[in-house]
Amino acid sequence: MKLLYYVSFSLILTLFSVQLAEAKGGCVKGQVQDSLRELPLAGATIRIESTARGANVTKTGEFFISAIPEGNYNLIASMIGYYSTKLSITIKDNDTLTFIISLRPQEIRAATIVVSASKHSQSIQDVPISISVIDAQQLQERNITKIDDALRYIPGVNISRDQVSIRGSSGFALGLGSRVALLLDGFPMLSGDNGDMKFDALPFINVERVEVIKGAGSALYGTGALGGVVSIFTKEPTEKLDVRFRAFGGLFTQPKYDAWKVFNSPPEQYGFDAGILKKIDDFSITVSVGTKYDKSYREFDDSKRWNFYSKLGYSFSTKTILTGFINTAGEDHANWVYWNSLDSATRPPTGTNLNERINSQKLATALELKHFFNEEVFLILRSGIFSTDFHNEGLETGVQAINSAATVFNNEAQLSAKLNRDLFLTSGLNATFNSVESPIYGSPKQRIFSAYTQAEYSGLRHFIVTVGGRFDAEKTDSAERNIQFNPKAGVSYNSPLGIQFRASMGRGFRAPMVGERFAALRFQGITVVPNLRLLPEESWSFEGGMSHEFDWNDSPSSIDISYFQNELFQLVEPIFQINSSAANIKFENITRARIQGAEITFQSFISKIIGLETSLTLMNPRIYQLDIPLAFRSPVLWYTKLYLPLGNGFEVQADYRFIARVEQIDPQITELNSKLNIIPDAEARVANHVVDARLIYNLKDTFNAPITLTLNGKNILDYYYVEILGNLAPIRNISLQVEARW
Amino acid sequence: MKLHTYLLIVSLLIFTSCNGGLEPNNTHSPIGKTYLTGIITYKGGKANWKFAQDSVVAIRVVAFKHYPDSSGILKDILTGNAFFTPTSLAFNVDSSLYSIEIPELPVEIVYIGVAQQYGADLTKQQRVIGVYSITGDNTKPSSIIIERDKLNRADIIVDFENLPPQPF
Repeated sequence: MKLLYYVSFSLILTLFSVQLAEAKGGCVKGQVQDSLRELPLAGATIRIESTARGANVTKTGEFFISAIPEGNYNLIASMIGYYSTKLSITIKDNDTLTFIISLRPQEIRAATIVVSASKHSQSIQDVPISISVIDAQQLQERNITKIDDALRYIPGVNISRDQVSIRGSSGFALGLGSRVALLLDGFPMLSGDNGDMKFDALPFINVERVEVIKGAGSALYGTGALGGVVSIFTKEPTEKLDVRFRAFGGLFTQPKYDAWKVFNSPPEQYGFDAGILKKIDDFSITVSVGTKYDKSYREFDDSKRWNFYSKLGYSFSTKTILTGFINTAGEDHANWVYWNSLDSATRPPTGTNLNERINSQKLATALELKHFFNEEVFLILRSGIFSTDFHNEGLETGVQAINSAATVFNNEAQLSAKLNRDLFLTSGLNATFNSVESPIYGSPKQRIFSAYTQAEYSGLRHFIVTVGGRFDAEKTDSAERNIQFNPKAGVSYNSPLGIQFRASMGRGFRAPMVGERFAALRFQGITVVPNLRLLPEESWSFEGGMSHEFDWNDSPSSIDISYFQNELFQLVEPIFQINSSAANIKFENITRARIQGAEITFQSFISKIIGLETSLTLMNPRIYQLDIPLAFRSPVLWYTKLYLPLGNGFEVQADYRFIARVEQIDPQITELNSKLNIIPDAEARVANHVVDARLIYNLKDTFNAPITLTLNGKNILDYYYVEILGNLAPIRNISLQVEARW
Repeated sequence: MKLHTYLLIVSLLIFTSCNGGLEPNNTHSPIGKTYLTGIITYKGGKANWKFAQDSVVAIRVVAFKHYPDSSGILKDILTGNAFFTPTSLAFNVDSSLYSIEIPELPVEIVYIGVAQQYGADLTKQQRVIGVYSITGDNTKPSSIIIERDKLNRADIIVDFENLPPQPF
C-alpha cells in the first residue's frame, strides 16, 4: 500500500514539474546555507511573497522555482531557528536568477543557570546580585585557555598578575590577602599562609564555566569574599569519550626601545595540555596534564610549570554521588621582583643573584558526597585539603631563606531544601583548620568555625526575596578571637515587560592572613615586622540594577546597568616606617574607604555581521577620612570584545581594554624611594590600552576534523604599561595554538 | 550603519587613544639608553669563593675605552676612560648579572674586567679576577663595540684559581 502511495505521489509530482517547466516565465534557483557555518540548510522554505509559489530546500541546500510570471517580487527564505531573509528580485521571461542565501541562526535564549549566588542552581534572572558567567560555549568560541584570560574582560574585574580586584576591592597588596574568594568546584583555593590565588594550580583545560559574583559574598562564603567570589566549575564526564589536546608555541617580539632589549632573539614560550573525560556506567573519570615554559620578555624572569588533575566519580544510585579530585601543580621560576629602573625595565636590579629561584608546589584534594533525599531536598558533604609550599633556592651566604608550607583543611556540610512551593532554604556548617610552617611566619594555627543559612521566597508575584547570614568564629594562636556575623538581603523583580530589576545589600569580611600577622623577614632591603593585633577587614556592599534582553535590528541583544556602593572598614595596608638607611613594613588596619560606581554592559550582533560585547565601569574609590583617592585603583575600566565570522571556518576576534591611569599610589612608597631608592621609578604608570586579537580557523567545517588553529596576538599594539609597581607588563607576543577535541 | 563604519570607529578609538605607553626616561625617540650587560659566571660555583685572595669587600665590573695602565682605576674613571657598576655585585654566588649604562655612542670597549675590592682603599686595593674574552683565554681580553639598537652583551667567567694578568 505504501509503495503504491509513493509511486502515485512521485508520478503526480513529475507530471506537475513537467507542466511547470513548460509554462512561460522565469526561474529562481540557488542554495540556502547557515551564515556562520556555511552548511546547507535542508528543510528551509523559499517562497515568493504574495504568491503561492515556493519551494523546499533539498538535502544539498538547493532550491528551484520555475514559471514565475514577469514582474517584481520579494523572495523570502525562512527556517525555524533562523532569522528570515527577504530579497527583492525582478523576473523576466526565460531568465534564470541564481542566489546563495545565508540565514543567520537565532540564539536560543535559554536562561543562564548559575550556582554560586546561592549554592544551588538557579536562573541568573532570579539572582538579586551582579554576577557574570562565562560558560563552556563562550570559553570555546573565544578561545580562552587561561583563567586570567577568562577574568580579564569581565565587567568591573581588574587583574594584576595573580591578583583579582572586583570593582576596586584590591589595590597593590604585596601578594598578600586576596579580597576575592576563589573556588574550584565549590572547594576554596586560597593559600593558607598568604591568602593569595594560584592561577597555575587550576586545571583550565577541564573548566566548563566561570562565575564571578560582584560585591561582598561572605554571607555564604565567609572570609576572603570581601569584594566578591570567583567560582570555577569543571566539566562533568558523559558516556561519550571526550579527549582534549592543546599545544601552543610563541614568541615575545623585541621591544622597540633599545634600552629594553635583553635577548639576541625573541624569547619563546610554549606548552601543552591534554585531558580525557569519560563516564562508564556508574563511574566517571577525568584526567588532565599540562606543562608550560616561559622564557619571559624580561631577563631573569623565566618559569616552568606543570600540573596534573584527576577527578573520579561514583554513583551509588541515582540519589547518591561521590566525587573526589586531586589537583597538583608545580612551578620553578626566577625570583623577579621589580625592575632595575624604567630605563632598564626588562632587567632586574643590578647585583641580583641569578642563581636564586622560587620553587613552589600546590596540592588540592577533596571528596564530595551529594545525596538527594527527594527531588526537593539534598545534602552535600565536602572535605579536603589545599597545601602550598614555596621556597627559594640558590641563595647567597647569609641571605634569609623565604619559604613557607601551608595546609588548609576545609570541611563543609550543606543542606538545601524546598520547604514548600515558594520557599527554598540553604543552610550549612563549615570548619577550617589552617596550619603554617615557615621560618618567616613561625608555626601558627588558624581555626574558623562557621554556620550559614539563606532563604529564598518566591511567593510574591514576579518577586524573589533572598535573606541570609553567616556566623564565623576565627582564632589564630595568640591573636585575638574574631566573631563575625555577615547578613545579606536582596530582591529581584522580573517585570512583565521582560526587564529584570534587582537590589541587594550584604556584608563581607576577611580575616588577616598568617602572612600579614606573623611575617618577620628582611626582603629587598625592607624589614617586615609582625602585628598580632590586626583586626579583620569588613565591608558593606549595596547594589541596584536592571537587565534586559531584546532584539535590536533583528539581533539578539542585552543590556545590564548597575549602581554599586562599597563601604570598606579597617582595610589592612602595609605601613612603611622609614629612616635614613632602612625601612620597616608593618601591616595595620588603617583605611576606611568608600567605592561608589556604576557599570553598564551591552551585547549585540551588529548588522548581523559582527558580534560586540562592551562594558564600562566608572568608580570613585576614596579614602573616607581624607577624601583622597584610594591608592592603586583605576576610576575607569572599559572592555570591548569584537568577533567577526568570516566564513569557511575562519573567525577574527579582537579585545580591547582600557584601564584609566591609577590616580594615586601610596605616598609612603614615593617617600621610601626618595630616601632609599628601593623601587626606582615606582611612580611610572600610564593608562592601559591593550589590544589582544586572534585569527581562528576551525577545520571541522572544511575537513571534518575536530581541530582548531589559532593565531594569537597579545598586546598587539606593543603598548607599554605597568599593572603593579616597577613591573613592565607583558609586551607583544604572538603564538600559534593547535587544539583538538574529539 | 555599515560594518566598515563600525570598524572605522573602533579602530580610530583604539589607535588614537594610545601613544605607545611607557618609555625609558629622558627619551622621546625610539632610541633609549644603551647598556653593556652580561652574566658573570664563577667557575666552580659558590664553593670556589674560598680561593678568593684576601677579603672580598666589593665586586664591580669596569669597562675601559683604552687599555688600563698602572695609574689605577680611579684615574680612568675620572678621565672618562672607564664605565663601571656603581654598587657592588653579589658575591659568594654561582653567577651574577651586571649592566652598565654607556652614555657615549658608538664606542669601542677594549677591556672589560671584574674587579675585586679587597680592602678599604677603593683606589688601590683592587684586583682583576675576570676579563671578557671571546676566546676563553683570559690572557687575551676581547673588545666590543657598543652601539645603539644592538644588544651589547659581554659574559665573563671568573676563575679564582687562574686569575688573569693584572693590568694595574
